[in-house]
Amino acid sequence: MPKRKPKSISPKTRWAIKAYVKQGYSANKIQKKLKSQGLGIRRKTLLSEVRKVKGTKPKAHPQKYTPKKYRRVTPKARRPVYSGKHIAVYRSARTRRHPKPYSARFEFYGSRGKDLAKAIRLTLSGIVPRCEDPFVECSARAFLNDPYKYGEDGEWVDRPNIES
Amino acid sequence: MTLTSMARMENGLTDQILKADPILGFTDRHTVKLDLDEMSFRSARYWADLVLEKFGQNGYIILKSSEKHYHVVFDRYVSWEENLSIIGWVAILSKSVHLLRYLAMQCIKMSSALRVAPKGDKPSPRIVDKFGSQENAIKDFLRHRQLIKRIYRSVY
Repeated sequence: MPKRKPKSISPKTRWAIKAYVKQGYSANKIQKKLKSQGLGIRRKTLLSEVRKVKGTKPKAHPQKYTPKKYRRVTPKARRPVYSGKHIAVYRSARTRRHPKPYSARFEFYGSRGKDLAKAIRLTLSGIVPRCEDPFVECSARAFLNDPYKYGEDGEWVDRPNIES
Repeated sequence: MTLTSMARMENGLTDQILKADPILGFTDRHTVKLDLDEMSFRSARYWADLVLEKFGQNGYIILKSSEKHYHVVFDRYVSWEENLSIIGWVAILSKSVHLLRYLAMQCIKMSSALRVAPKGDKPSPRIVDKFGSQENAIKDFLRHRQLIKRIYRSVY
């Protein structure tokens, strides 16, 4: 949420505040003086002006002085929402370690079509799920970052017809 | 000798088993999908209508995968448990061994999938019938189907 700007004050008031601060007056005294001269302003505005004149740095964590229930809640960073719908890339696969074909499947999800297309292209180039973990579900981007975390070199094959 | 075959020989793979491209499909847990194999179009529509009535679905689409092979997608989102219950109900009543096998596979994988891209000689499934609402699960399914088809065209 953007911080609200303090109300602008007249040059006369600003000049008066500057003079009182130089004399070493406290904020309370300055406010009383201004009020008596018909130049009354909000305390919040006065304090910020006094700080400006004195050159004091603003407090590091002003939120911690505010009770929790009055604190401004910063909106959480939005995470990409996946609808739970995945693109499945499946068939039988075999690798050097497992020459016998086994049923394998990648399920990719992601919001970017380009990433999905790249991930599918990568699987076609010869990366198949491991025999120990043949059903892999991962985001397309994670797969592109480290394909060998989810699969290994091998090839997609047709399911052999077994006749008994 | 091509680079691919050289790489395959290096990996110790031979050509006894036919190499094939993987199949692309749509998968999720909350859309009711039926894979009706060895069934006529009339039977597929009968079972779709029955599910529509019995389980309070709003609408469905029927896709023809190949001759006597149909896919049905329903419009109302359901929980995974209800999804399995519906598929199981149809499988038992229709006495379809193929659908029972499909159900078993979905249980193993913990999500149900349908083919979208072509597979061998079979073209990609095409819509042959629709009924009722198409606004929820069917809309999402069709959007993903379009994306998968686009990816398929870019890859092949």
